[in-house]
Amino acid sequence: MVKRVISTFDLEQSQEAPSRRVLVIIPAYNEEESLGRVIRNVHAAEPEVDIVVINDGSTDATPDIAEGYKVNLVSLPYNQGIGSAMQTGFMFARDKNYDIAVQVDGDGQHDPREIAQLVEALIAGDADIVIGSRYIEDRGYITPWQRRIGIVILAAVVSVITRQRITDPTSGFRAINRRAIHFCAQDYPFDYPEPEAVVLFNRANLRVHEIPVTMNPRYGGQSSITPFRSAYYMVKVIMAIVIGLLRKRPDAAGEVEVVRKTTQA
Amino acid sequence: MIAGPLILFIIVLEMVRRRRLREDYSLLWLGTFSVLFILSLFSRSLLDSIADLMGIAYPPTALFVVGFGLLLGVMLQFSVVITRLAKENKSAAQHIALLAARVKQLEQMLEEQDTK
Repeated sequence: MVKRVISTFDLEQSQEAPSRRVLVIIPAYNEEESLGRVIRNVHAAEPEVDIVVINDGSTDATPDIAEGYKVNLVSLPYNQGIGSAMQTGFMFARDKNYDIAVQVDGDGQHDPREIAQLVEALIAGDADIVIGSRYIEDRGYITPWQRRIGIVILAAVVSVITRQRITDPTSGFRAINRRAIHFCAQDYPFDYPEPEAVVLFNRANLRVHEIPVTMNPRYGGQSSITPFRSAYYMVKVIMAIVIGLLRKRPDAAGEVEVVRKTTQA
Repeated sequence: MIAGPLILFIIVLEMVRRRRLREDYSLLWLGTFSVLFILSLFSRSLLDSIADLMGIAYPPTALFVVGFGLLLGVMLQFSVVITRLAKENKSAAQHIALLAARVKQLEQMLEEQDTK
């Protein structure tokens, strides 16, 4: 039952260490149709990793389905939105001392076979956050044009602010390391958090890296995004990002940060 | 015009006394009613000159304008309080969820021990 906890964790040196503990976080709100398949696919692709399903106050059989698998289940008492659900997952990862957390959405859009690529890119050491992007390479993912416009605008805003080319700021398929886990557990945006999180990472001097992935159409259930909502979210997210710029820079506590500060002093 | 704010002032005080309203949230209300009370009490001198200053020809309108501004202040305070409550509520729900998961895990471990 007791798992080995790695206390000395060094990104730069431990290329050979296979014992990094990886947690897959699956946020799920009324995903009874697809959740079982997502869990089986993650287990099939990555038998070694642990899974935590964050049931975001589902009113359907989502928690019962999770109970049927060898996963951790954390059930929020009522629906709080993806941002709060993910933050709960990051808190879980922090409390259980995981080295890497990977977000895989419960609707089946993310292919668990690509978790390995995200984790490898993270371990390679030049990033604290690795985002799986649908748009670096054209792999036949079809986005409705209204949403594509929204994503292009958000990508432009985020790219300008972070001074780094970000092609898919809305992608939730991400792997993050221990420093970023602690940062996200502390403070994570709500509602529609992904683009805002990219800007927050940048401002906290966490390094973001994108790699190409293939995304599937969702297995079942309803997308939460309607045209009116996408417009509302666009305005809300851009406002949140711009106002965020007026705040004090967030601090990602960690060795790198401390080193940076002392060298400046 | 004079009795209105006075009655409301007393009602708010009474609610605080019965603990139906917290002291800190009552202060803005009491302040609002006090200002309205004073303005209507000295309507000849004070209100007229304020109306004059604001370029309002009919002084009682100035009373409404001032009252409206104060109400906006109270409502803004509500939004701030609601935001804080929502934040605390979210955090509480997250901790409950994580603790519930831990309790369940502990119970399962105990059960496994018992069956051994």
